[in-house]
Amino acid sequence: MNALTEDITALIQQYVSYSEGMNFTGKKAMWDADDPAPLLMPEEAHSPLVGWDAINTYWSKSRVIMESLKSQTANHHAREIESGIAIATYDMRWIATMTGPKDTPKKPLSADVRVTALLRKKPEGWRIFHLMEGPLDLMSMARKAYSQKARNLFPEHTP
Amino acid sequence: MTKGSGPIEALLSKWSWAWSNRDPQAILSLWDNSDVEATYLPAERHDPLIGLTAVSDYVNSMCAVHDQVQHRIKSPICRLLSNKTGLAFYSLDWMVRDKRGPIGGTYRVTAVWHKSNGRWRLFHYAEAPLAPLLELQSFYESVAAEGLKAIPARTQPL
Repeated sequence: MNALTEDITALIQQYVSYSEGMNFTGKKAMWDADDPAPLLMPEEAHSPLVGWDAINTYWSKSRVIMESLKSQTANHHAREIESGIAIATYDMRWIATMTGPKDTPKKPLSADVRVTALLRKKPEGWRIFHLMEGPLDLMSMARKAYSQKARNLFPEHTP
Repeated sequence: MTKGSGPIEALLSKWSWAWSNRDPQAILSLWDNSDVEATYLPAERHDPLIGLTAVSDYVNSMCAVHDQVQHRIKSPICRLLSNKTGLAFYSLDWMVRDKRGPIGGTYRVTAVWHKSNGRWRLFHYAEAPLAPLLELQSFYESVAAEGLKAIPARTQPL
């Protein structure tokens, strides 16, 4: 792993660690506060969130919709595409429980997303200004689900 | 769109036109062939395609196996990050047709371009579908909207 990837991996790991406890103030501190038009594309949003008002509103709503959230990342890669601007890719697994009626058992939901992030070098370190979460498409995920089912049903035939 | 990002928006039109015409040569003419780390992440792949051979094989295959491809770019947001790096984000409505019929959808795309020797070239392209759980919910809702009487007819008579 090169030094840039190490630096940005550390930042990303810190960023996703703030998911636990839904510390969106901590997350926001990892973004470039000076960027006038940061863009966040969560996998469940129908449109991109552009600008601080949209991103702050999304984070506030997340606290209401989710009871818990944890994330972990892997397969990080970063590249400085020009002096002071980097592109990073990584995979992220999130596990969440949604809010619902009390006394109703809630099973966690989880999925993997492929993330593309752009970052800018600031005096305080690398900071995000563009982040897009991309799950596998429905067809590929359906195949993965059926593949998993086949392995569960016929382990002796699906080494 | 930020000031000066017009060329990036024009390139998106060329990119979309090239795909809709299943023209691998035109598609790859917009790709940075000289960048060994240039990365293409299609919606259906966990691992990105890296380097010209992988990207070229994918583009040629997609154009060859389909009888029709349609790409439509919506709501592009283009920014110049410097005088040699451009960032585009947009919604992509797509459709492909093969012997089994058409399939299509909408992806969100991040596309990063850089300018070298006076020419803009794409070197990072990533597709992000909506969460599949929501795609399925939307499909169930569309069936509900058809109503109870809209049971599909059998293709073979009983």
